Amino acid sequence: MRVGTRAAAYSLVTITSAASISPILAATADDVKAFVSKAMTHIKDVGRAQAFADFSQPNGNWVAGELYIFCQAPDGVILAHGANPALIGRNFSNVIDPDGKPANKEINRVGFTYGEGWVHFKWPNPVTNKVQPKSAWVVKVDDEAVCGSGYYHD
Amino acid sequence: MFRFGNLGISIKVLMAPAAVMAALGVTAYVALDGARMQELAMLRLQRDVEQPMSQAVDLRDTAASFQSRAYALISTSGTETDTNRLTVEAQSLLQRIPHLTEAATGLQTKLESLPAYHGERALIEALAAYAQAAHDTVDMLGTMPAYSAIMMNDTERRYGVLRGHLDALIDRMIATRAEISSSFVDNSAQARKTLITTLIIAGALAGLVAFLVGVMIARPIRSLTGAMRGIAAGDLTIDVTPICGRKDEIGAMAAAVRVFVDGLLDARQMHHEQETARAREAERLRRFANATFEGIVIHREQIVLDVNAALGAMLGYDDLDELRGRDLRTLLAAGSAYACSPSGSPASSLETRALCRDGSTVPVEMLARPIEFDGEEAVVVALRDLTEREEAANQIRHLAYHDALTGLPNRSLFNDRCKHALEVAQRLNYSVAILSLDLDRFKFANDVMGHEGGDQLLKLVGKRLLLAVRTIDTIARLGGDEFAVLLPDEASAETAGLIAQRIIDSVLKPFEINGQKVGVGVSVGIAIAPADGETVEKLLKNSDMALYKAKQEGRGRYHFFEKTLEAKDQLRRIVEQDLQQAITRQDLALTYQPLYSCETGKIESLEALMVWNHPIRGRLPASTFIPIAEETGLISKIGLWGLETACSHAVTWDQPYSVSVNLSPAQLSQADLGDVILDILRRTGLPTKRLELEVTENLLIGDTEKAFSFLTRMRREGIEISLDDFGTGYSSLSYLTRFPLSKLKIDRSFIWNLQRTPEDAEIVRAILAMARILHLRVTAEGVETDAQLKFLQHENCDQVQGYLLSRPVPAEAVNQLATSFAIRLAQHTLDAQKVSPSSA
Repeated sequence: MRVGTRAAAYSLVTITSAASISPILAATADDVKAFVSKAMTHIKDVGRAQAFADFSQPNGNWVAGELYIFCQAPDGVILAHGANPALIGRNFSNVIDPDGKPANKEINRVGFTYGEGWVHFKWPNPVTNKVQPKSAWVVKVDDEAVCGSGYYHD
Repeated sequence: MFRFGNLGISIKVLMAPAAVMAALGVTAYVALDGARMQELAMLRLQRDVEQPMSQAVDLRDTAASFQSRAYALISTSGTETDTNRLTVEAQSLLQRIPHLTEAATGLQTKLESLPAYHGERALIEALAAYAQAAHDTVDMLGTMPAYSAIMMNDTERRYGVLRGHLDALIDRMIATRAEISSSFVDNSAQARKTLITTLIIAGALAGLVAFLVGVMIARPIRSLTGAMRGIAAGDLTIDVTPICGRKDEIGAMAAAVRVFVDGLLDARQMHHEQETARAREAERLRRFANATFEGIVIHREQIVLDVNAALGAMLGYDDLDELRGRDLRTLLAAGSAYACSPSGSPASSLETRALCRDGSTVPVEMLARPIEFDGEEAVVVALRDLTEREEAANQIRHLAYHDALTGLPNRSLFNDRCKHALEVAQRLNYSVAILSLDLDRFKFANDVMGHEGGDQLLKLVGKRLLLAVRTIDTIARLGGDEFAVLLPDEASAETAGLIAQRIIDSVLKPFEINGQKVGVGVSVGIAIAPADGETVEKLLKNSDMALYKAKQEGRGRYHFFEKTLEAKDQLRRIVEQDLQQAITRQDLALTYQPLYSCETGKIESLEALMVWNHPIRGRLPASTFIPIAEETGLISKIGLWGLETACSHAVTWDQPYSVSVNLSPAQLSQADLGDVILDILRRTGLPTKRLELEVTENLLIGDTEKAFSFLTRMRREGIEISLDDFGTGYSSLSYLTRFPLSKLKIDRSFIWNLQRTPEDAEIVRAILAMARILHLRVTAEGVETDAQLKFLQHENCDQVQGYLLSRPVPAEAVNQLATSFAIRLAQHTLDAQKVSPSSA
């Protein structure tokens, strides 16, 4: 299962960016960064509303294995979600991960304060349907949204 | 001129009761006033305490049951392949949310009307937040179960807040109740004192008046009495004329005495004559009848010639002539055997029933013998009344088939009747309903009123239930506060529902026991044959399951058995069974997370954390199965296993680290827990000072008396007690001073927020300062960053625990742990640099 997921992520990266993939961990982090930056370009190209709708298609172009795009408003409301569109419109600011981390608050803090950055927490992996440690790269779109994506550790 | 002597006796005599009445009036007023005050206090008790408390307890139960169901559902969701079924279960659980908010609205309305409980707004807000989070969490089960697991953490936190509020509220209500009860005692003591004083005054007044009446009235009456005595002795010459001169009733009485004397002798004469006649007649009858207590009939060819008085009495005839000349067969119940027996066969004896004048029958034994009567052949029959013997037999039968307390049928009679009803129903192809009943809050009522009060309550409940069902129905007491009803005729679901509602309504009105009003409710589960089972056992089991459901849905209601109930019950049993097996199969394991001294950086102790290596579901953290274990009572077994395992691990460590073990509040119900713990320590050889017990506030809130004596004993033995998750729940300062704690563990949520919100940093500082004053040590949980560690070191926190320093490790890896976090941190920093330089 894990191998398949990685392979899917790699193929996506190969198509979207020219980055070479040598050490496995660094490559995955780079994949995610490239994936998010491609999402930013898409927002600029087709407009935010259309882009968010595209991100939220579980069978669309913006979901590859465990990688998917999520976007959040400053108050914690989910704006786009590739793995679970049912979450859109829900306020997740009070949701905490199994270790007590308010993951979504943390995503907003990093995104809106620093413009971009890594956030680490535990989250459901859509492929294994299990809660696993996740590292997400978060980028601020503007004052009304941050978007990001992340990869899962064992 | 006014003179007392000239007043009529009626007026003189009236004065005595008037004075006494006045005094009694005052007494009655005092008594009534006392009663009114008691009643007011009673009303207050009912309104301010009992009602809101039962609402709060209900709310707590509803929330707890929701929470544990949600947990159970989420913990199974990882392996549940049939997502449809999961969705259905989630949907049915979601339907409970309205009950929750309904219960909350009820409680809120109640609290708003009571000035004493203003300021419980936080509770209502906590509930709303919990209901919303719980809804969202369970709702997610249908689509993506893994998200439910994530969201459950938030829900659990909100649930904790809600529980804290509710428990605090209930505590306050218990305090109010105690306060009102003590005012009861004060009131009645005061009332009794006033009552006794007035009664003494009334007695004194009555004595005084009696003395005056004696002087004015008794003396002349005494002289009249002397005269009457003379008259009675035959002396008719006594002169009563001087007394006749009086103006009052005594004068009139003296005059009447004279008239009486004239009539006296005549009357005596007449009386004597009547007496003689009656005695003669009685003598004649006695000769015939008194020879025996048995009823006696003399007949010739069935025609009654004579009878005795005993027979008349037995059959209810005053006039024995009514019996003479009748056919003997008309005196026996229809179908009676005597009619067929040969008349007068010698000493033939048989048991049959005689017919009374009012149509009822009497069991009798008959003995016949031929005699000569008036020179001709006749038969004398003796009838012995067997009523007493029959009653005794009935009594014995009743005892075997009825409940001694309520007089209702018992389980064996109920089973008999059900069996019979089911057979008939099967033959005629119609349905039979069985209702299981269980009183709500009976245990609570029993605790308040004591055992005898509880028995009395059950009696009264039995009486009301009997009135609520129809005469053809059987209502039985199966034991404790469990009752059952059989509807034997063509019982449709509609009829069963109707009768269930009547039963529920019948116990709504409070019962009065020893002058105290007690409110209980009843929940009803209904199973209908043949759809829900064809045997009594199956039907009773299914109606019990429906009853459990009715209880869960908020009590005071009825619920029909459904097939899904059976399925759910099985699911729950599976988890329970798995857990049972986990202990025997050794699927449970302990991991250890070190607690480091902030000052020296060295490991001081290790916290034992339980995980369940489920054969199918994988590794489950304690939070997923401990609630189920607590609910099913398995916790005491699991808890002791954990304790014993941790102690036996600890003795194998190279360093003399302490080991800390979590103790569930449910374990405290084990009466000899203290002995068992000390025994484990002796057996494993771990010194008492190396064991720490981690308890939560819930343990302190429960049975405080028991908790106090248990904890005190453990401390005296040298075992350390630390209070876990401090700051999240009720966090009452009084616990900290009242209970013999040695350490506080600041909840991880505060540590997490240290660098984010200045308030949390202040809270941590305040907890540390307070703990220092109370001589308590402090551990900070969930330390994950260098900044957090630096802050805690700077603020002189005693101990730290968290992923930054070490994750939990298996027991056998404890000896490999670096003994100090300085070494560990250095390694950690190096590792971090090696792995991801890009994220630094």
